[in-house]
Amino acid sequence: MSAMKRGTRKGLHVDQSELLCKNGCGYYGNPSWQGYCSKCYRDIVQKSRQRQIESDHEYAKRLQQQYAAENRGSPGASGGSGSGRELSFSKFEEKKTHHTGSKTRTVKKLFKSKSSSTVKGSPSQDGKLTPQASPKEPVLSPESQKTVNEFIEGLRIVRSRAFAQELYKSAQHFIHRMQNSAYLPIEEQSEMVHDFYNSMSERLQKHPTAGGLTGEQQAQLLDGVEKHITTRLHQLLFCPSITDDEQRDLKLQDRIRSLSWVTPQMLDTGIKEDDTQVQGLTDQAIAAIIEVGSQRSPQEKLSCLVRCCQHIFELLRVSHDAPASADEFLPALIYITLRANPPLLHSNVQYITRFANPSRLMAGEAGYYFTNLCCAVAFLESLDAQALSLSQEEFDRYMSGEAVPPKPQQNDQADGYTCEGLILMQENIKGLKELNAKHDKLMDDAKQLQDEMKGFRDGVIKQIQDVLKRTPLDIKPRQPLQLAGTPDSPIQQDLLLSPSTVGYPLAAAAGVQAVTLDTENEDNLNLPPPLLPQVVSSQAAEGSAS
Amino acid sequence: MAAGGARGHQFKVVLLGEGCVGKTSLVLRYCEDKFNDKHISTLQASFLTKKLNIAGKRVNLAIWDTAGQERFHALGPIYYRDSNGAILVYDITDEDSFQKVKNWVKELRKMLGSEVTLCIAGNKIDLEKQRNVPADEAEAYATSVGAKHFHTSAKLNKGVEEMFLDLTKRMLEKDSNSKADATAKPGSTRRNIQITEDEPQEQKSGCC
Repeated sequence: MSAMKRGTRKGLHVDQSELLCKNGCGYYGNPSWQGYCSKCYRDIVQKSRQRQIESDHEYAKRLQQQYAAENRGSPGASGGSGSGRELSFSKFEEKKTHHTGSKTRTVKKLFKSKSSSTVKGSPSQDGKLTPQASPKEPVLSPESQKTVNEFIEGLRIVRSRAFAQELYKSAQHFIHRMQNSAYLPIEEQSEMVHDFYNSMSERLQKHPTAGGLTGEQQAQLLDGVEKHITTRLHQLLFCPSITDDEQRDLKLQDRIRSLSWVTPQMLDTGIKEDDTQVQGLTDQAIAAIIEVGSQRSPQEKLSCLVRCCQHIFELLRVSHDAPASADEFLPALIYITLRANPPLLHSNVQYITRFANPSRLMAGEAGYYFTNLCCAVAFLESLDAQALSLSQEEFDRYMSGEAVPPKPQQNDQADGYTCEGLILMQENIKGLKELNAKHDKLMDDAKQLQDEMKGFRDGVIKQIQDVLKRTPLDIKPRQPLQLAGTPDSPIQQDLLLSPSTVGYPLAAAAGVQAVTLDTENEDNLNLPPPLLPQVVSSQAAEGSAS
Repeated sequence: MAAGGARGHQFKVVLLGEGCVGKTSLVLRYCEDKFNDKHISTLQASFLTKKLNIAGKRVNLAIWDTAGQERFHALGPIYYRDSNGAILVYDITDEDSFQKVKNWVKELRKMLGSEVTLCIAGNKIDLEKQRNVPADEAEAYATSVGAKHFHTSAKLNKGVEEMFLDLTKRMLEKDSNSKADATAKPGSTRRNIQITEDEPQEQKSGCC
């Protein structure tokens, strides 16, 4: 009763008739029995079950008939639906096994061809260096394969085969060891890698057969080792899941994105943004710093960074016209990092710090730039209003995107907001004007040159005429040549002066020669008279006469 | 770290000091022997190397310039970690820049201990008339912190060569001493970026 009351009080009115059994047997029904009383419900359920069983039976019969009809053509199919079903299932099974079989076979084939190509990859060495390692080796990615080949290539400067083999083996061994210790904390892994570099370097210095190597060659070998190991282990060591590198990457990326409103003026970079050359160099620097992420070994990453920094120095030179100091370089690098927002920046920095050869980061130029990159990252992470010489209020508004910092007044373009295209157009117009001026100047110069040439020609003609006037050309009649005259005759002068001899210089020279020979050789005159034939024996003369 | 042995000694020297005190001019004068010249061959003056030969020992100096602006002060530790020597430059006409040097010295001693060799350079002595930092005070301070003081002028090329030479000699001495120690306890050098948080915070609280 109380429940009823409560029910009515709640506004639910249940009619008396609805509480009775639907069958009208007079007993009360129950909603959980679909409104029937217990007895009627049991009957109904039983009936419906019976009906269900019957219909199922009918359905099964129908199916049997269908199967029979389908398999009537094939022999042995009349055995009934059971065998038919079995057959189709076994067929399916067979197909499946066949499929997986072919799959494993192709995979096996892949392995086979790959491993044979690894041996082929180093044809001259395959008997010496690869066989110990290649059977154990899993399939290598093309990049890894390339570094393996490069590494083997690099080992050739070692004179002793055995030592080269030893180095290769220990590198290989180390890679396996690292692959098996991926669960270790990253600091320990980093330490392992550093220890390996140290032991390699010691080995190179102390090994008796390595004595022939110069310091440069040793460094080259160590570079090779480093590149080889880091490229092969890149996947394990770069942004490993055991660290929070990934989250920090995302955090840094978001942070940099939220700072995209920072202008170079706020950082005091002094970069002339509106200069097209500077813009080009900025783009190159950005491309280079983004490329850092796509490289595998620390060396390659660092060399991308060095390239980026060189572009920055170039653009600072364009903007400042003096060697850039760190006072200008660091802000510029920060600006480039901000503009580029390189993906996985934190991971890259960590990877290089952990696994590059420490001596590289300590001393070289690359180390300096890397340190600056670390500084830039640290600066961006802790950037606040004060560092940009803004008020806290301004900084917050810019950060939340409520306001956009005003564009600095551009010195040659009056209005602040000019789109890229307009700037380019103005730049082009300026360029065209310059070209026009140059063209005009060139034309003037050409005209002047033409005038000068004309004057020169006239002058030459005039001079020639003057000369001709001063010295008229008379052509005298030709005189016969007198070659062999008496010693006293003035033949020499005649020969030299008479215009007729001009045509015969050779003859004239011969004449002079002849004259000098005969006339001026005084010794000829002092010579004794020529010998005359004498009678040697009078008897013989007499004898012959008689 | 100083890498000794067959390849000679390798030293890292950082230049610290406020902006515009002439760090860049000093290093350009030393490495290129040029001052404010259009013919300076290097594109940059932030990282320069110099090869020296001192008493038969080959030394390679890598000179790291640092950004001197106040806003980058907190980044100092990243620059000077693992450096063998530091040159702290101030402008003799600028009292503030000398105060900055004192801050740097304190910080360096705290972070690197006595391992780092210090030089303090009072630059721009060509502007002796406008001197604002008393010479004897600066020298007394230098000796009190175990540093050497030099009066330099990049413009007149005074004292620059001497300063670098003296620094290198002292670094060599320290290196040979530490090598003797290192044989006793090897493998103690671990190098990771450690940006200490307390230093920049101090700076902030001081300025706000």
